[in-house]
Parts: sequence; structure tokens; C-alpha cells
Amino acid sequence: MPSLARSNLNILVAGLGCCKQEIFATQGALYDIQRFGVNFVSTAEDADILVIQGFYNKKGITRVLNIYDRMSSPKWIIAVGSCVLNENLFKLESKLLSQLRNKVAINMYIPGCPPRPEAFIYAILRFSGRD
Amino acid sequence: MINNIYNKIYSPPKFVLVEEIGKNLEFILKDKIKNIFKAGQDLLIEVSKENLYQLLKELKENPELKVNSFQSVATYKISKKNFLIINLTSFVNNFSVLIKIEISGRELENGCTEIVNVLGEFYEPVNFYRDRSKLISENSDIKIFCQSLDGLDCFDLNISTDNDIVKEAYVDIDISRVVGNHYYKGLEIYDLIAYISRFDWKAGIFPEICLCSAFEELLQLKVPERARYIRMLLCELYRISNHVYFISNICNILGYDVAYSLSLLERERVLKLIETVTGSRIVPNFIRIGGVKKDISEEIIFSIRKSLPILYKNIRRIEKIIIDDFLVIERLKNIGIIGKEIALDYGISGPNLRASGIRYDLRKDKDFISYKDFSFTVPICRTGDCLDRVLIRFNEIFQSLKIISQIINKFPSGAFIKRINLSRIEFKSEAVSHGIECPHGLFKIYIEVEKSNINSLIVKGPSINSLILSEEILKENRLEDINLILTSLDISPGEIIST
Amino acid sequence: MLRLLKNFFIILGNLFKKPRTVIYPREKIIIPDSSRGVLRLKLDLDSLEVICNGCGLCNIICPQDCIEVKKRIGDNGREVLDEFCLDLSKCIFCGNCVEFCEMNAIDMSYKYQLAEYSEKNLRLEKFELIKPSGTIRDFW
Repeated sequence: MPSLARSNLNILVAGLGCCKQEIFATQGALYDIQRFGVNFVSTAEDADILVIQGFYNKKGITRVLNIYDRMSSPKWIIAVGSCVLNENLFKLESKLLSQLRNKVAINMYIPGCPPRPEAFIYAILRFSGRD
Repeated sequence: MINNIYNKIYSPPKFVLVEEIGKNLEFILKDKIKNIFKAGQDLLIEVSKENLYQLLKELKENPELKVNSFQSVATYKISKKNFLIINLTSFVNNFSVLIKIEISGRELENGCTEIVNVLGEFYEPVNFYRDRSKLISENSDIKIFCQSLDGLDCFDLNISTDNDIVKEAYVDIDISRVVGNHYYKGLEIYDLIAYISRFDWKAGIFPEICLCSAFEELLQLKVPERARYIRMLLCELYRISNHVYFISNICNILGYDVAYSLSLLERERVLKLIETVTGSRIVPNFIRIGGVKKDISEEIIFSIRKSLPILYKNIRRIEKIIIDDFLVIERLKNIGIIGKEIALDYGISGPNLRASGIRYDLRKDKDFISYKDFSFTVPICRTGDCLDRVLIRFNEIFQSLKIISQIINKFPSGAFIKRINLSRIEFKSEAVSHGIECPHGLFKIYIEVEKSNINSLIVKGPSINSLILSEEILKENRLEDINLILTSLDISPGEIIST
Repeated sequence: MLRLLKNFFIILGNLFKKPRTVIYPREKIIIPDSSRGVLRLKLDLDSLEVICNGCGLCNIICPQDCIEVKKRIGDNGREVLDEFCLDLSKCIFCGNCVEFCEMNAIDMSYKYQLAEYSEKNLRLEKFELIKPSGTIRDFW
């Protein structure tokens, strides 16, 4: 990972699952993820890392691929939670996610349903080579 | 003297016998109703498609019944037969009605247009369930995708504007239809309990309690007293954590960083207490049929007792920080007002309903677990704007702390579960519906069972009603207030997935 | 004026308090006892062998089918565990397998730092599941 991106990581979170509140809990004063230069953004052009989590249907998958196309060039993907790693928990069109995994390369996997906030910080530290 | 003044402000709850209403209805509409009986807490009426109009007219216009708020519509399938269920509630008379209609397979594909047309004559919010893609594309000029703003978690918003004033608003929830049609078929009961807390992931204990108490009603099982107290303790802890999370979201949108990080710290403190009891922060998997999974030790009760005064002091401090700042008050006041009439028509419930001046709470009005052992008040506000919806949640947190301190002081001893053999159970063919008071409003589950398998399971969260209402109250507001109004309604994405 | 003085003393008091942030990679947040992490196989303390006899009940109970168990006949004619495989990408940490186990042979550990570069590493074999049971709180 280039050193410029390592000291200023911008993260975009997509999806509507329960992992979302655990990821945003790291912004609080107890964990304070901003110590490592990590910011949460809401526009695709600014983001370096795309986090995918939660439930998706056909429309949602095309939206995520659209966001991934709009991101600028050094870009990575982190997959969080067992809904994305395995299949949809409520059994709707489970082949869609394997299509997603074939089209883009996923760089890091975080298991758990939902994972703890410390696990997310650990993944970011390991990803940027500072563990 | 004091009782008189109290009764003027808070009118005492009405207790209604559902069987008596059923007998009256059977007498009035003799040959037009197929079947009528009591299913759990509600009245279930089976009716054919032709007689629906007269039944709805009787229900709405009879002054003794006054069923004037629409809750939800759902469809399901049992062995090649399709059924449609309509849920209507009367908040004034404190009872609710389920209407069951058999429909053919071709009608289900067309979206049941005939039945929706009949319903639309009496209840306005039914229009949300129509096919509106043509109407939306003609009338709207700006499309906001989900998650591009903080308040829009799980739906798209189409608006048309005049300068910067919103004229029309349409909500589109296509992206959150992610639950398979019959996911519950072939699952065992303990698998279902492990899955179901994802349907309200801001407060995960409430769907579990609702499902388990519905099965207990089917089996005629009485839960031990200690298990009931543990359930109430967890309910109140989750209610506090949900409301504190709501306050932190509001502060995040206002850009108030001090209150934001202070309230997230208090949420972590409550979640740690929950984790010591259940073993997980968000998805507890703790309630079993007939009791709870584990007992609570003396050390845990001691640690809860020690952290109660700290929680009270810190949340009082956050409230003081927010109320003392006149800039925050000016921003929140007189935005997104919900009147009494429109709140009843659209059938919202919980703190949003109480903020507009109607006192309705299942903890007082119905016999929900055993809340009648404790003394607490149900706070109400008058105008129903964003400020009222923030203040009422602060008041509910303090009432919950009061209930917890009473629970801890008289914790009964005894067994914590009544063990039954789940593998050899055989039900008669029965239907039951059960409702509880979750932090967003009225959470309902409807089950039909036959022998040892579940034929239908319908989960209905309260957030969908506030979402339909948001189309109305966004009108005549500024563009920059959309974010604040949608967040102040406290919409939980997990409940929208299930409809 | 009085309010200003009051605020001054609040800030002065906060200067000497310990900060609330946990400096994460160096200090660890203490997790409650009953918290649910990765499965571990318990060891019999006398003979240092696995208690599990491979009956396969946890495989039937699991809602996501994430456990694979195989057994073989041992030297003295008793049934012995041969393979035990846990797929972390499917597991939802519900704890049903621990509740239903008749031998009391499995347990939930405190391990939660789980992030891997490739999907193959998420499949844990038998010897990896035994390892954490040696120490209790050092392996974070």
C-alpha cells in the first residue's frame, strides 16, 4: 500500500445490515478510529476503501458495482459479516453474491455476525501494515 | 384531590372484552361473515371478497367500534391456497382486528387491485401499496439514492421542488426487499429464535420475546416469575441503548460533536451490561420458550446497581447540554409537525405517537409481561415537532432507569425456565397474534400452526407506518430539513426488510 | 460570571482524569466472561485428550451447517474423533451447539480478532481449535 494512502484512509460503507452500527461505533470516544487517520466519507470519488456488508438483492448489487466503478484508481474492498461471506441469511437469490465475488477482487474478509468493533480496527491495522 | 387532577391529565386505560365485540359484530352482520373468533389478543374475521365493503363500513362508522387507523397488509400461501391479511387498530377503544380473505393466484400477481381499491375508499395510507412507478416518474424531478444522506438508510426518495420548498415526496423501498418468501419453512424453532433478532437490529431482544410469548400462548404455558423479571430487565436495558443511539444520531446531523461522543460513551456502557447478561452485544439469542437461557448471578446484579447512578448523572448532563443551547432549540422547533388526526389515520405508534399528544402504551394498557407491579409514568408532549420527539426519549430513558432500580430491589428467587420437550409437540390447527411495545412502537407477530410445522409467520414492525407518514410531513418543508425529519422518526432498517 | 467560574472548575477537574479512550493495539478492552467468540475443543485435564467423541449432534443442530465432524473406531474399540472442521465464513456465533452438546466437550472462547486475506484461511482444522485452550486470556 502506498504511504500516502496509508496515513489518510477514506472509507465508504455500503449496505443495510446490522454490521453498520458496529462499524460506526468505532467513531466513538472509546475506540476512536481517527487516531490512525481513518475517515468515513459519503461520496464514491473520495473513497479509497469500499466496505460491503448486509443484505443485497439484484438492484443492490448493480448499485454497489456502480459505486466501485466510480472510485478512483488505487482502490480496495473489505467484506464484513457472514451475509456477504456466505449467502443471504434469509435465503433470497443466493447466487448473486458469488457473481459479485467473481467480478471484483475482495482484499480482506472479516467473519462474525456482527463482528465486534475491535475486529474492524484490527482489520484496518493489518491491512495498512501497522499491526 | 390528587387523583382527580391526575385523571384529568392522564385518562385511565380502557379495558375491552374482545369476545363481546365479536358477538356484537356477529349479530349485526349475520350472514355476511364466514367465521369470527379470538386469536391471541386480536379478533380474527374471515370474510369473502364481496362482503368486504360492508364490513369495513360497519367497522369505521359504528361509534362503538371506531376502527380508524390502518396498520398493515400481508400475503401468504398454504398448500396452493393464497390468503391476504389486513390489520386495523382502534387506539381510542384499545383493540385491534385482523381480516382474512382468500384470493386466487392470478389476483396475487396483479397486486390485488380490487381489494386495495375497496380499502382505499376508507383508509388513505393504502395508496402506498399500489404500483406507483408511473406516478413517481411523472411527478418527481429529483431522485435521492439511499445512504447518500444520514437519515435515508434503506429507501430511495423521489421529490419535486419549487425553489427550495418540497412539494411532493414519494418513498420507494424496492432496494430493501431482501427476505425470501417462505424462509421459515423447514426451520426448527431454535433456529428461528437464533435468526429472528435481525428483524429489529437496533434492539434485538424484542422480536425474540414476541415470538416466544406467542408460542407460550399456543401451548398455554405460564412462565416462572424470575424469568419474567429477567425479560423485563433486558427490555429496559435495550430501550435505553436504542434511545441513546437515537440521540447520538441527531447530534451527528446537527454537527454537535461534544454531545455525540458523550452519548456514544453511555451507549457502550449499557451494551457492556447487556453483554455480561446475554453474551452478545446486538443479537442476544437469549430467550427460550418457557423462560430464559441462563440465570443471572448476584455479581451481575451488583454491577448493574453500581452503574445506575452513573448512567443517570451522565444522561442528565447530556440533556442539560442540549437544552441549554438556544441554537439547537431554534433548529429543532416547529419542524415536521405531526397533528393528532393524521397520526391516528396513519397508525403510527410508540414515542412518535406520544409526542403528538395521545397516551397509548402497551405496558400500561394491556397485560404485557408483568409491568403492573411497578410504578412509572408514560410521558406525553403536545405539539409533535422534532424537539418534542427528542425530549420524550430523554424522559423515557429516566422512566426506564426507575423501572430497573425497582426490578433489582425485589428480584424473586426460583426457577428461571420451565423445561418442555420441543421435539414431540403437536399443535391443533390454530392461529395466534401477539404484540409488544418495542422502542419504536407496536411490534406484532402472526403465526398459524398445524401439527408440528409452522404454516405462516408474518412479522410487522412499526417503522413502516412512520415511513408512509413521512411522505405527508415532508411537504412544505425546506430541502435541508429532510435529513433531520427522517432521523427524528427513528426508522429501523431491519423492520422495513420484513414487510 | 458565576457560570464561567463553574465551567472553569469542571475543565480543571477533567484535566487530572484518565482519558476514556483505550489505546487499542497496546491495551486490550476487557470482555465479559460469558461473551461468545470462536469455538474451542475442551481437553481432558488428566489424559490431555479431546473429550469429544464425534457423535455429530452439533452438525445437526447448527442453523448454518458450518461444522463438519468425522469419527473412527479407536484402538480399544471405542469411538474417537477423527476430523473436526469449522467454517468461520458461515458461522453466526449463536451458541446453540454449546447448549445442545451432551458431552460438554465444546466451549466458546474469547477470541474475536479475526481478519484474513484469503477465504481459505477461514476454514479452521482440529489442531487450530485445540490451541487456544492452553491459555485463557493471553491469546488475544
